[in-house]
Amino acid sequence: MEHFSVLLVDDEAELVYTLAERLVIRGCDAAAATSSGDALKILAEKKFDVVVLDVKMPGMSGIELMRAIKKTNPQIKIILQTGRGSIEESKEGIREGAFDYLVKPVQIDDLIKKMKQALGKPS
Amino acid sequence: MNEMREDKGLAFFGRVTASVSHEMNNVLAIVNELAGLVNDLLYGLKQGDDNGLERLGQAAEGIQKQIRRGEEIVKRMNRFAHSVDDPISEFDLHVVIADMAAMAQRRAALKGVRFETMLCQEPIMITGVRFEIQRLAFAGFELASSALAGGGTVSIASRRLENLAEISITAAAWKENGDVLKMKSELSADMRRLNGTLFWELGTAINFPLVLSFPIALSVEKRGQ
Repeated sequence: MEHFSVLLVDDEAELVYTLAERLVIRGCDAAAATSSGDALKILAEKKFDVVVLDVKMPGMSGIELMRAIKKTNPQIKIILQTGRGSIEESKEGIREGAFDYLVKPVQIDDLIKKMKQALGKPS
Repeated sequence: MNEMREDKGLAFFGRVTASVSHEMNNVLAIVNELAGLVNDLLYGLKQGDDNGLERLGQAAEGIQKQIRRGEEIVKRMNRFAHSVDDPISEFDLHVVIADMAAMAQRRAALKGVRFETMLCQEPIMITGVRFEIQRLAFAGFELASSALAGGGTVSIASRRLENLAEISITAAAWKENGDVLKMKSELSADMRRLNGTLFWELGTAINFPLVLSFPIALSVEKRGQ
């Protein structure tokens, strides 16, 4: 069982809610948001250890969301999710403070491993 | 001039295929998660946890829904790929509008823009260079989504006039910044080259409709005539 909290952000609702459900099955305290605005509202009400966010989102992009999160919660670990076309943006995200990025489709075990690395937990 | 046309065609092809592959990747990512959830729930059932039974059915339905979505994407991409098979072909303008609006939607959504299509009921058959018409429609939709920088709805309508077909692309709160003016200028030139016209009518202060009118050099007729 995994004991950390994670907020998942992606505009593909079925993707983000299903992934959250699977992380809950594995013992994570997982929540999901389908827009940057919703993510910021959730973060204002609850603290999370990790935020996993999609780089390409309508309105405020993933990188812009990361900057906004880092302003108020610099300790939160950020992991970016990207399609193959946005890898350069993800590298830029790492330069700006993201822990790492994963290319979609992501295998859940790889995601959990990456989150543990970000939190300095043994994987 | 031909090199410039080829460059524009390649750039358009690149934008469309990037958008389609992104959308297809999302379909695969969702199927990946739903299939994973099915495995998780089956594991629970084997352990005697019957609570996941209903969710198992929903997950299977979700996979089927994504497969239908994927099929639509593949059909659109296939029509697009075959649009260069014949230099001149007969096609329904509505299919072109629906395909290009769907393919431009992902990039538009990143700007907070949604397309709304209101096409006339009867097909508008055009004989012409399908690839070029697709490129111009796509460029018109991209122009509208760039002009609506703050997000909003772009209405796409069609009508058949005496001897030409018309796509009208309308949006409120239009903003003409440098990029938009450049796109507009390029689109006007492309339309002229194809004996078509780009009507750019200024309406009220917040409503600047764009009307793309397709070439009178092309024959336009109703299906069955």
